[in-house]
Amino acid sequence: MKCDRVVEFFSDYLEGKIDYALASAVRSHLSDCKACSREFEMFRDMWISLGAMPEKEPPASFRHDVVMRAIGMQQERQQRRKNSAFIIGLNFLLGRLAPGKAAGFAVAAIIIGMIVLRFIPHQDNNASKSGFDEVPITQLKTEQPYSFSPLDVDRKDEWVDRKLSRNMIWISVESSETVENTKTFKVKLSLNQNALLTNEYINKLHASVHLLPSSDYTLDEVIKDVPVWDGYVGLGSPVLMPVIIKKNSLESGCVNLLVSWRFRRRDCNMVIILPSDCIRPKSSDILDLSHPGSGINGESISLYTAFQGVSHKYGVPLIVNSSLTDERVLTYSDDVNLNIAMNRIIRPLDLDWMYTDNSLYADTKYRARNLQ
Amino acid sequence: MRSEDKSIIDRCKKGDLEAFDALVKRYEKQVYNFAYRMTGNYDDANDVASDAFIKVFQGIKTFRGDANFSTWLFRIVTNVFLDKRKRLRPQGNVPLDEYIQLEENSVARQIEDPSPAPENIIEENERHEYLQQAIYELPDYQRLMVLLFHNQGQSYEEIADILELPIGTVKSRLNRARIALREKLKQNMELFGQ
Repeated sequence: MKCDRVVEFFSDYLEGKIDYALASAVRSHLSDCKACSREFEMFRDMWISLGAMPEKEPPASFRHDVVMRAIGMQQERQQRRKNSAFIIGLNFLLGRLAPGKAAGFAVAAIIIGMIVLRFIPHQDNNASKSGFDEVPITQLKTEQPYSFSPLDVDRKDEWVDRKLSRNMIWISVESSETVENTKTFKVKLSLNQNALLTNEYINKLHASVHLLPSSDYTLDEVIKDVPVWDGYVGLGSPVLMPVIIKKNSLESGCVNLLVSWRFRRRDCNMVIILPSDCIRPKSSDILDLSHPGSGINGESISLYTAFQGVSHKYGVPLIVNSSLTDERVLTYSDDVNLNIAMNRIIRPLDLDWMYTDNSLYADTKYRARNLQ
Repeated sequence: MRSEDKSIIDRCKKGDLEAFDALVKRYEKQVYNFAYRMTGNYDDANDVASDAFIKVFQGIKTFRGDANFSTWLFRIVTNVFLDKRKRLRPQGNVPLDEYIQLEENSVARQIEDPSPAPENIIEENERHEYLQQAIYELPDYQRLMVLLFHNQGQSYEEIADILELPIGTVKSRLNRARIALREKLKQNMELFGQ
């Protein structure tokens, strides 16, 4: 067998898929020809290396992003079906008119229908009302709970990845100060190093912060489409930004910031609640709920309602800074107890959990529970 | 088809998003890894893998179940890649000194300090990088076949199904691809067995 022929049989020879006679001929040639023998060794090394290449892991948010796209497509499909039903209904109605008039009415009705359809409420209507059309807002379902398969509480890595992928930028309220009729919050933004993918080597992100309007208060001085801050947050270089509110306009409810950034090609958003004097518990300590039913007052419930409302209204994950101090609160499993749990751990300036997907994600120190 | 797959797929066909989530979870690593090896970079791999899953979501009702789901899935991933390849970035593997382009400026891609990794681990990583580069330099169809067989563990029959080619054609082209790959790797004899 000649050298230029033997290489053609390397694959079959390695796989043991040639007949005995041919295998003998190949073996014989390799034992006589050093060059081909060397070539075969390298071919075999390559074959082994191909099978041993390390697996590249998808980004932590990959699955979430894919399913979000699917959700969006499903909603669009449903909306198109509704619109089609409207047009079909209209045409049917027109068909009952006298033939001579039907044509003219049909044209007019289709035009009117298209104008009406343009204003049919759809799920991001709240975003439109707030005047944030330009701001990319990731919309979750607001008609029904946004839910994935409940997290397996033993698979901590999974929920940590999900949490971290949304917590690339950590936001905390460092301080607040009231001077005459002005309240100033110092809000810190920093990159969460653990959230950045280890294979991305990215060390800063561009972010923008908008002050969100709320039905709970009026902010005459807020120019909605201008961010209160816009710039880069670098790893190890947190940004301290002031948010200034006229105190007399903060009647009640929360002041909310919408933080937006882009990670690779994805738009990310989250909302942070700035603590309000009106909804913060009177004591800065944790409410004592050792006796069931105690400690639930109007202020606590309104804070919980505010958290949930903001999260659902804007369809974004909700970050409020405070730290968990009692792991027992995480074992509650229904909305009423979730209410208690969230109120129990309220210390607005240092909370460290995220409420989204009807689940409560805690800091890595604590175990997560699906509280649905 | 595996019975677990069948149950999830049946639910997906009814529009069950939790089932779709479970399906993505089951196959995301395989698909992403394959897409990365085909495209040579993370961004494009993400696009290809994501689009492939969306196509699965859109077309799941057409999956009849007479073949392996993974065969059908990889056919979709392959087609998504082939459709996109003209728009994908021209370079292959990311050079180690590439700069990340941000909106206003660029920052150097930071290389994780490998020390005090032992020398053989560094050498192993380099072998994989050069191998990936050589794979990337193969023509699309050769690259597809090499990765489907060696990286994804697909059989000749499955590859024939995925690429819709006769099995004899797959075998001969895959053999050509291996030989071509070996030729490319000869440029770095030290790492590959000289």
